[in-house]
Amino acid sequence: MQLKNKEALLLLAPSILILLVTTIFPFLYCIWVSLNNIIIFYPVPNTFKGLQNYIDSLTNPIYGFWKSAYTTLIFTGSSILLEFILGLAIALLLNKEFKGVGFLRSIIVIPLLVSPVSIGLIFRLMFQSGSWSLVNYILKSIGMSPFNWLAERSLAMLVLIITDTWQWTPLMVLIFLAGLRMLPQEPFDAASVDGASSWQIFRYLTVPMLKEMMAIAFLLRLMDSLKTFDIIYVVTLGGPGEATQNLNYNAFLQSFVFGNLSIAAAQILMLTVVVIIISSIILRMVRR
Amino acid sequence: MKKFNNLLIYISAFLLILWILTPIAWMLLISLENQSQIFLEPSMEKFFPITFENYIYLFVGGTDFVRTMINSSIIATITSILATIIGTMAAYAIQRLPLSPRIKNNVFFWIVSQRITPFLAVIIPFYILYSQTGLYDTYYGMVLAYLLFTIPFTVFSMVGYLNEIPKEIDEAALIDGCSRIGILYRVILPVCRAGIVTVTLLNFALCWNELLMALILTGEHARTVAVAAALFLPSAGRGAMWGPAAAIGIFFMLPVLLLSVFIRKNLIRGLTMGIVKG
Amino acid sequence: MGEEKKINRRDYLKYTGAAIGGLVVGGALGYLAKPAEVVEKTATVTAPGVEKTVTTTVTAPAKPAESISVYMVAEPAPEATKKILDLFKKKTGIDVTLEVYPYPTLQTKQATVLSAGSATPDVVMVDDVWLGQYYESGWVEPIDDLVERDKTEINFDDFIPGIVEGNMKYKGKIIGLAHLSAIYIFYYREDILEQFGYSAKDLDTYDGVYEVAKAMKPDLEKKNMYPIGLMGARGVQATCCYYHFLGTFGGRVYDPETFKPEINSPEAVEALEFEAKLAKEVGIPSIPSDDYGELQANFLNGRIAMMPAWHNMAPVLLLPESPVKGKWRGIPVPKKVRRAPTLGGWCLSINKFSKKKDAAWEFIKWATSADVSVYCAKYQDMSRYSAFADPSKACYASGSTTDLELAWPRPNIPPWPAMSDLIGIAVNRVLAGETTAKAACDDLQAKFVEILKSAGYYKG
Repeated sequence: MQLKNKEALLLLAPSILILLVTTIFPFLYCIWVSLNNIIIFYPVPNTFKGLQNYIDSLTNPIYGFWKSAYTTLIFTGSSILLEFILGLAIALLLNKEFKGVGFLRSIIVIPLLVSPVSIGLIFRLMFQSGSWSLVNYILKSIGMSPFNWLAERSLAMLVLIITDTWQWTPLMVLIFLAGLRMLPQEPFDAASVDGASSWQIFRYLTVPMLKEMMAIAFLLRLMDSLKTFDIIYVVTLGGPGEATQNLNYNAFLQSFVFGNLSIAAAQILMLTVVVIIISSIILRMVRR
Repeated sequence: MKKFNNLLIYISAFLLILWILTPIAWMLLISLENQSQIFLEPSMEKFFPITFENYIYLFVGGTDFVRTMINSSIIATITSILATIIGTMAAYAIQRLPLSPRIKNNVFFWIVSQRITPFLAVIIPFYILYSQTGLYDTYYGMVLAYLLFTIPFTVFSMVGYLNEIPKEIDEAALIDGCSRIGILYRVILPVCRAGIVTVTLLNFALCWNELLMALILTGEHARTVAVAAALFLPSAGRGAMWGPAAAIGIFFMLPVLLLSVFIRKNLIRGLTMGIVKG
Repeated sequence: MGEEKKINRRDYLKYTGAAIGGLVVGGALGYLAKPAEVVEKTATVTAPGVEKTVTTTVTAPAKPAESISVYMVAEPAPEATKKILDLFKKKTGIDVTLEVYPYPTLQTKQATVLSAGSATPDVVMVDDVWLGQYYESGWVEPIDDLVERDKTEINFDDFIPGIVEGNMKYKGKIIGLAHLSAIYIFYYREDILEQFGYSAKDLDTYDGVYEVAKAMKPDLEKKNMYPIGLMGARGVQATCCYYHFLGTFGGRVYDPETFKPEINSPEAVEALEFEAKLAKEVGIPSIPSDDYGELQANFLNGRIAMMPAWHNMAPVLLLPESPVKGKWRGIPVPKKVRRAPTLGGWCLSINKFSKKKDAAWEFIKWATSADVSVYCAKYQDMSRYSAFADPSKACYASGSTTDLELAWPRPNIPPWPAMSDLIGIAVNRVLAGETTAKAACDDLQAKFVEILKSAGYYKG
């Protein structure tokens, strides 16, 4: 049963080859840019700045680092939490057999398949200010007053969270569902026979067994959510003010409006490092 | 108690359906309205008469819609299939083979970190790379670019699924004289079927929806539907083209929806239990 | 046993899928490939005493039709231009691939490809505020000599002067030929104002506008309408809207000689306070989130009675199904210290790295010519006097041309888009009631000092 390095290499080779070819060069370039002073739009000569860009990002508010970090925390934190909880609940629901579950299972995928642009525009339309938008109309019919959704900071953030949750919860559902389906049946049967309640089964059987899946789902969503760009671009454009500008969007603005690629690269690399650290911590906790 | 449970289930199911379908239904309704109807309050005049002008615009308005649908389908299909194959192999190697754990962790992290870095950071060198090597605006180029983040996703997910399968299965098969690749094929695959199908579908969805890379790395020829949809965003001299955006949103979903219904049969056809026993 | 079958079926599906995929790819690639040209050649063969004519068919390699690639912004006129590209091909034999992108996407895409020194596209579309950036980055070159050479063909005087200065020139050099124009005019609902006994002359100054709005407000609100609409959503529109008020009250962003920022001058603060007052007291509540499309929709659907806005909103308001068709007029913007209609617009320039500059220039001349301009003007307004001559535009044409002559152009130095974004954010915050005008302007002042200093413009 000894390791066959050759086999391992054979299996791993294609992945590594592809990733090597396409990522090493750009990644190194990104690091290089962050250490220099690459500015588009102005005829400013490039100078080596070392870690100065990093320091500037962290200390100078004009680069918007901390502000967008805070926004990212709120946005990503809330949406992942929501998606996780809802995703697990829905997966449990869909794991049961009842009339119509088949239908549910087919439509659960739909939100993932809609273009973020289209769905972003639809949500934007649904949450328009004025009493004619869908959401405000519904509120009006139940006697509440319409809100100025996209014009107020916290409401705009709420709209984004709702949009993100709507679109990505199914991802969690699918991952959990596949995981649930792969669990062996015997422990559950045994527990039922022993008279355990659903909650007990859930808490002492399902959760531990799914621990690793949960970590993976959580991390996957974390990685993607931090890179959220599309829906911000479509629904709020980072507004009102800078309320919905996350780190990625901020870096985008730094690059293409302010023209300072180096600062943007520095910010993105810092973000990447933080995520890697968080991921390792979580994985280590779970692998135990 | 049982009755209450059932009721809960049905209510939840109902709410779920409402939650998922409301934006979709709204999108469908908007796609059938003309410019002025879109901004009216829900009422008779808003919804009737319906008009197909948005759909017509998609086909004749110069958005090259049909070609983008074809492009997206091809790119997403090829990418997701390739990613599944390559990624599963890598995941298996990482998960199963007794390589030194340090190597495994390093490789794992490196693969996964590709997913974390926003494309923004590498947008310009990527563009340079692509235009110098002639990959710009080609299928090959897009598939390669998408493999960049689908492979890590596949690896990441499959490692998780594989973890749920006890190693005894492997041992049993090895004793029976199976090669590693044989194990992968005959034993692991069927058990992980749900996981594999899920991952493939998700990869497909990710490629189908991806916007930023497609925007920069394609021009007219390999343009994807996501980019075509982006044409309807607000521009400085006009507002968003809500109607066509809704129409393209509907089209966007259809092919993949059909695909997933088709795949669902595999998803549902459970797993074989007790492989070790049998 | 069932196991085996399932595996086989899946494999079968996979292979079939792959095969189909391969076929589709092959088909698509085949479709995309250009067929070689089949040419008939007649050769005369002379044998001693006999002359025989032999016709042989030779397949010559396809003669490369000259082709160029053009990027334009996704707005009604460029999209209309797409439809008549074959006219250009007939005229010059040049194949044009015209790609349109929405504003922010165009900005990103052009910046990316030009930074990379790419030869495509051959023609780029430059927003007036990008002129400085594009020129200073070495992405476009002056075309004064080309314009001089083809002067008669271009009929330069047909271009409105304000546009020439603001949208085509940077540092005195002509960078491109103006295509789309955008100028602020003041729209108002004639029918509604009549009901209250007002007319255009009451809207000559902004104080007058405010009085009229206040007077109309109570009655309008009963009908779910509001007197005034503005664009307050964070972005370039909020900046343009405020910039209009800034100029109207006699302020400016910075001193053109020393580049010292003056964004917190008393005039600038007063302008912002006035805009906020309009929005708060007589404006539609959604102003802080209203962008171009929302404002246009508000007017189109009769929710607001007046708005200072781009004249290129007009064509939509003139469509047959427009609920407000025939009920509105466009007049020059009201004044306070002066009239300051914000100028916007685009010009078409040659990409410095292009390898087909002659063909690119031909396209630029054609796309901005009088004929094409008049055609496009049905969809969106262009930059020539002749394009405003259409009678259907009578309700706002003179307002537009007057304002275009007055034009209040925005800065086009390279740091401007960044400064513009900051203004947009500040205005948005003031309109949302988060901060006072004075605080916002002081904050902007500090930021601008820093930006202009580090860009080397302001010497402190």
